[in-house]
Amino acid sequence: MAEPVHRPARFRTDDDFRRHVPVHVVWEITLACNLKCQHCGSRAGRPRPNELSTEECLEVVDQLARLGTREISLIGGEAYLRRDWTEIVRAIRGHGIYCAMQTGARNLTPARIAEAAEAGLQGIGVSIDGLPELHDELRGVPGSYEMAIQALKDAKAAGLRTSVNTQIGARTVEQMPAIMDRIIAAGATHWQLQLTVAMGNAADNDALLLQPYRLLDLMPLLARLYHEGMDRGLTMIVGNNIGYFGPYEHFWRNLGQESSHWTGCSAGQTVIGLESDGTVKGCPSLATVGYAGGNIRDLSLEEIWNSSEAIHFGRLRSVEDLWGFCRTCYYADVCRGGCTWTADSLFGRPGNNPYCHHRVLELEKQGLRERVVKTREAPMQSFATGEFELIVEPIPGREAEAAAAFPTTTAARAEKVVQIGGRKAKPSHRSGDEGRLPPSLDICRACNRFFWPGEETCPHCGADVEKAAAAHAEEVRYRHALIAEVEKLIREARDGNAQEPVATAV
Amino acid sequence: MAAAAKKKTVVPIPLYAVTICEAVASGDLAKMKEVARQAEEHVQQWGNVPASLEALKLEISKAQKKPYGKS
Repeated sequence: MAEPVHRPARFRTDDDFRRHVPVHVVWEITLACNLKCQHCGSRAGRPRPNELSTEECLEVVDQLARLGTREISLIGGEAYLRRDWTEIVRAIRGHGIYCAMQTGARNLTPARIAEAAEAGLQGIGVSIDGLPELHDELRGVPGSYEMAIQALKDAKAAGLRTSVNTQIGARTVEQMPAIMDRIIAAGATHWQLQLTVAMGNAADNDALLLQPYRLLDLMPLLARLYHEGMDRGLTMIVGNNIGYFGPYEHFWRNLGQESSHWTGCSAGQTVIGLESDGTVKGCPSLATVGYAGGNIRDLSLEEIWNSSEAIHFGRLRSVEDLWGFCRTCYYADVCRGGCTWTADSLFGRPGNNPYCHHRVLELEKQGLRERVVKTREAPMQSFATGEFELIVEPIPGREAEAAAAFPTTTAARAEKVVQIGGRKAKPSHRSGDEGRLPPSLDICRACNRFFWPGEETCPHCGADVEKAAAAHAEEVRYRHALIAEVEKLIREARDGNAQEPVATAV
Repeated sequence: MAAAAKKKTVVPIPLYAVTICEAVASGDLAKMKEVARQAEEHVQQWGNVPASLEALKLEISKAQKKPYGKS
């Protein structure tokens, strides 16, 4: 099929991985915020006491340009609460780097948007987490939903690319179809989804969190909305903590590359997160404690990027660092426990992530499910985490079925979950300082799930993968011929020499 | 082949940040839907629905059902 006309700046090449190019940078330029979000991981509100000066910010931009960065997302707090924010935008664009801003959009007036567009801002992402009542409650400010929707319309009118981010929590799921209707009406073309993560305010308000087992309902819903959105001009983009390798994986990541799949946390490999006081992390969402690689006031960004072990964990991690179900999962070496932020925020270390569709389905086969229960509050610092216990239990109504597979002691239950994980993990391949290329899996054309190259039989549906691939190739040939024939008819109709349609010849 | 492999592109997994606004869904299903949408604009001009368009719609339906699987 035809390649997309334009390749987004954030798409990465093998060379980016080999040379550790920080392709995408997410930069909190201030922690000042005018919303009071119940799920805010960074506990934004007041600016940090020692935020970077304008001159320091401009130097950061120059350093990122030298490192090869191609896209910078400005976040906060609220990025536009910094007086010099358009100066920063202008400097970013001066290097030819794509620049966009994520916002809650309270008081993001048309004048502010126009000023940003004039400075070169290219895109805006507005956070909308529910229908008006729920959104305003979550955001802590009455009227914030209406302001967000209006900002979306104003940004579109100003010629910016417009998108919406939605955090999915326990109460958001049922509202997803209605949210989609509303953001399409407001002109959004892209909709990014993330699960609410147990960090900062969200750890305090843990009732907001979606329980892992609810992926059983959420993922089919998202799959339906994905296709409906496509029909209505909205591209759904699932974020880094939604996955992994379930029955929909083959289209979740299909943004210009067929058969793309999750390739593991990219923190510190091709992305950088910057805090407003100059702290450098491998991902903007990660906890500061344990993941801060240094501060640009002490060392250059290049030195931190190239030498900090706290930044490099994502480059060095292997299956040896995984635990629980993820440790022996069939996908261990490509997935590496999914989103580091999600797992680390729950359990104080990455590598075992219950928010996984494949895992939820494997447990469901045994009549089991997982939920998380808070056992320790998070400190009041920005990006602070508490602690959660993982509970494995029978699915209500399936107690008898689960009993045979469900040990009675906690230790035995933990072991059992590891066993359900299944297979011996593939070994990791690492080579010196050169970046690790993400593994590439094959897709079973009988069930559309991914498998490791070399398999003859699909581990999921038992199909002969070669035969399934051959049947699929024939199907593709037929589809392409159909497309070509209909395109020919369209051309003829446009040229004004339409003829009586004939039966298909393909 | 080696040169092509070096230039392989990997789609990024979006962080919690502004999403990839330039990205569009691709693949056969997206293409079939777009072509079917364009064809629908000419149905009146054709007088009746071409058999190939009907077949295309059937393929779209099959392709959409397939990924839903058991769930």
